[in-house]
Amino acid sequence: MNFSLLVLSSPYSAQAGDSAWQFARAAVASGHSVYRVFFYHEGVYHGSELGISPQDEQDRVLRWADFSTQNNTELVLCISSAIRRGLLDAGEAQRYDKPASNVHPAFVLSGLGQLIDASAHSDRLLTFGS
Amino acid sequence: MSDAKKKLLLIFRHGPYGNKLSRAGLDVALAAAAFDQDINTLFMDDGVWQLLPDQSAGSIDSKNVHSTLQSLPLYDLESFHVDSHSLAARRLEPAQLDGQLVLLEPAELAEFIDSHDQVLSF
Repeated sequence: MNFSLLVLSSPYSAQAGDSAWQFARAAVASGHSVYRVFFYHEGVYHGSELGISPQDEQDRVLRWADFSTQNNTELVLCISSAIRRGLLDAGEAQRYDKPASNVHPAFVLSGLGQLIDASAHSDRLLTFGS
Repeated sequence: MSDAKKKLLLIFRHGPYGNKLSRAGLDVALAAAAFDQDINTLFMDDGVWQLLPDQSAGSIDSKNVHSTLQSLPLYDLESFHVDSHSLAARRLEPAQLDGQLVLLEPAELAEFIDSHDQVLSF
């Protein structure tokens, strides 16, 4: 089965992002695929390249990036959720004349159309964090 | 964007203010409508408060959730499904809410939700 995931909460205030990652890993391990993870609302904080994890915790950003590389899964941050929270890639930083960018290169910024597209291309779309 | 058209259900479970998930969910409804998807909405738990008219959102520097809901019929999303038990638990009467409502009893919810291809919850 082909899954897509919608992640709504930030990695450090809720369990949902971790549950989404565990689900994605279990799905792939069971022979399924994960087409896209759409990070929306507070979920966009998963894409910050500048967060520093304590040594005794897993790095939530890097493990999604690794998952994406290993399983050919797209990681999309909702662009309107992201930029209002200060998550910018180089292009948005330039567009809005901001001094820095901070989105990890494994993540792309795009619109809600990518969530609707994920729904259209997946057998199941699962919501985490509501 | 694929041509595949799926039947989406958006469930709203949070109040209109205090938690901005309500606004996030409405934006998904508008996007899905713009991409010509077949959508239903279901309001349950504190989500039923979103359907109350006369919200003074400006006084708390928010955008009016109810006004956005009123725009959904422009996108062919004409009726709102409502969990009747959530209304009763909050002593709300259907007549107090705005819009064309379809009330669902708790026993009807599972079948209604199951009749959709994708379910998103906000």
